Amino acid sequence: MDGMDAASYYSYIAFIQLQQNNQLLKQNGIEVEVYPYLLGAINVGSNNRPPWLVPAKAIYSKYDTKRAADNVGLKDYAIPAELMEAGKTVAPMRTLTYIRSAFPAEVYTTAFAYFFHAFWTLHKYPNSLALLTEVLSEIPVHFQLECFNSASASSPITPPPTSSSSEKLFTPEQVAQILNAVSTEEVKTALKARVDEALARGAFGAPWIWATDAQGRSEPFFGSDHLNFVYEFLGVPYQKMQLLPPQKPRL
Amino acid sequence: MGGHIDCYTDLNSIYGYFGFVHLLEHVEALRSHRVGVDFHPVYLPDLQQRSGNRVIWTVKARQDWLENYELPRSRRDFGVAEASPPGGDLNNLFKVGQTQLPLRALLAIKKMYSADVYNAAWHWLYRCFWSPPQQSIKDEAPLRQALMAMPRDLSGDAKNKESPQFSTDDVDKIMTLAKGKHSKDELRENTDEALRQGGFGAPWIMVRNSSGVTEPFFGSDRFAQIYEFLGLPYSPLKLLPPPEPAKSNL
Repeated sequence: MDGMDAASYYSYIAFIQLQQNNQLLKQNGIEVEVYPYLLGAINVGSNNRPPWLVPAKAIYSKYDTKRAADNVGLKDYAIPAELMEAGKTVAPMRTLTYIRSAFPAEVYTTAFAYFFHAFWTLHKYPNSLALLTEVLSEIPVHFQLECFNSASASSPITPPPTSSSSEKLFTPEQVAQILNAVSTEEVKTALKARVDEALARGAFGAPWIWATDAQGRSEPFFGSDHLNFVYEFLGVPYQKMQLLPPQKPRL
Repeated sequence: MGGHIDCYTDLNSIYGYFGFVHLLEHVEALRSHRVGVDFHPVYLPDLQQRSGNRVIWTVKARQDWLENYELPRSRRDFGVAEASPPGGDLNNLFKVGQTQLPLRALLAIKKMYSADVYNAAWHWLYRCFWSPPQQSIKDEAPLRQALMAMPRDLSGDAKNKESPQFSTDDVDKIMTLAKGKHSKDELRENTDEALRQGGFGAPWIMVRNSSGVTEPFFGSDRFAQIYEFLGLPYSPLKLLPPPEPAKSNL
């Protein structure tokens, strides 16, 4: 499982990596569940504080975020100027919590992908009813980014379905249904339970990954940059990063 | 290609140790790409304090995760599975992590010996600090002992164990230089330099590529990014398909 918040940049990176490795993970018998969670609540609950409160780290993070984006092929993203304000993701995370429970897995994944895209590329922070309605209503039915099928994953590429580009993921009735459900106790409780579960498992940030191996043992992983440890723990075959020798000059 | 890697690190940083191990293992390979590697001692507590960085293990959940999961994984990954903080407790680093003197001794060795001996001395002192039985090397007497015990060949070949790298006379000279004002100033200047470049922890790695562009990298888990930046050929981390089921033989 993977606890992710749309306001967490490295959650987005990890989400893209999961899309890229989707087929290979499946072939290796690994099921992936992505859960909406609240980074703000996790930070408060664990007494963590965002790294950009250290000025030197804030400067360095500009390099690190760009390199992470280049690595997965993410283009046209920008860090919100007011990350604290934009990062109030209770409404969108409740929305995704409901969509996860009421719609097929592919619809939920598409919606989560679009929320990331809205946040990091379109700069729509859907924490007001108006913006939430707008974002939900505009999700293209088969939305995906080019980088979800990045060449860095050696899995076969599924051609994008040839539907008309104007077709939406949700009908206006479904949007209304989702918006009604978002403020129910049931949805609030479900998201809170997920946050509490992660905190109980030791979470202090996002993405927070809880991996369970074939023997039923589970361990926590944090971040988008140590997937090798996740693969090692799961016992799936992988190749480590390797520096290669210089190529022989061509004659 | 071509380029250069300047790695600012401290003996009291386990991530500094990991980064050092990776770079040392790749010194030859990097040389074949015409990329040089140079290690610079910095005093980490000074760098952290002056950059306003808060030691990460003051967040309990993070410390628990680090000690129980992440550090053991990294230790195995970097081939130093036995490394652990002195006394098995990261908090001990506050007591034994005062590494100014051994860092100054490294600066002295850098002046007096070849790059290979200098790199080997780093490797040896990292081992003394982190590998059981961890030795405190912050004071002069144990530091001298540690330097005296440094074998000429660290590769673990038993017959070379008897052949020490430094004589008593060598160690005297190293320690005299280490305790001089010049080494003191140089250590502070290295830390100043890392701060100027935006450093806040270890290993802090400044990389210059073949176009003369320099960028900072932080930590022991950014080598793929460094190779990318240097334009070197590398194969990224890859999940592989499951192995073919074994064919039954007749």
